[in-house]
Amino acid sequence: MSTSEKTIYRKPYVQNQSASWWLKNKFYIWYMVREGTAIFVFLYALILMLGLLRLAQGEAAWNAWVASLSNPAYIVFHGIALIAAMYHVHTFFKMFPKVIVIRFGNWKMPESYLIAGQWVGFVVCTAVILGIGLFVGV
Amino acid sequence: MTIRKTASDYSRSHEPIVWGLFSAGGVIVAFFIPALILLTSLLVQVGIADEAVLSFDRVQSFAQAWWGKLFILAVIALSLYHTVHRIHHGLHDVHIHIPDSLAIIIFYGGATVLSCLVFVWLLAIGW
Repeated sequence: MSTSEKTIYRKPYVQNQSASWWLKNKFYIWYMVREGTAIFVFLYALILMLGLLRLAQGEAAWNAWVASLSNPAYIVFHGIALIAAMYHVHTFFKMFPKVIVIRFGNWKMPESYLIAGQWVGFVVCTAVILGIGLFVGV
Repeated sequence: MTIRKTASDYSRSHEPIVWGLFSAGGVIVAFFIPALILLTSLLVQVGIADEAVLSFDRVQSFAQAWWGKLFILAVIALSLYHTVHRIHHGLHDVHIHIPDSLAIIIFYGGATVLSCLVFVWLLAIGW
């Protein structure tokens, strides 16, 4: 056996955990809700991809895709996706100050400043996208 | 049960790379996706905004501009990398265990293939 190889003998203790462990505690439930928002955002990304393909296929294909979005099932889905995305926003902004700590000398920027700053950025971004999307060149 | 491991069994983690894409995607989803859901799928459909917002000519000229292409690619690709990472770990959380090597191919490989499709379709739309 070469010197770079080490043999490890261990008897791991395997704790049995049921697949529904996260239902037992509010904190875990909200954790899973946060992770679950990804499913809706993933599906929305696929819908955007389909729209992009239809755009590449020409005007008739694009118009059919836009018309399909008026289907009530699609509207309900996008309503839920919007709520899911907003929950992602809330949790993501809350997480940021835990990852990045900003200090000036001995003064540490409070988490609430960083969270508020991100919300300001969110409002600006949303206003710019909706402003351009709804009004420029329509 | 005894497990025998050698040094070669420990490989470098892929986690830093996917975590970078995951974080960048998280930022994109947080700042852009709510507005985009409203713009593409809700405001026009519920009658708040005019149908001309989603007219073919208008969206096509957006997708033909280089900055429009860049925006579309960044939003879709990074959203995909962000969400597949969460879905991958979420499946583990609900005890659906997929071998790591297979999961990398399915989730991160899948996101890469879909991102490449977006790139190709953006080229097909032209300039």
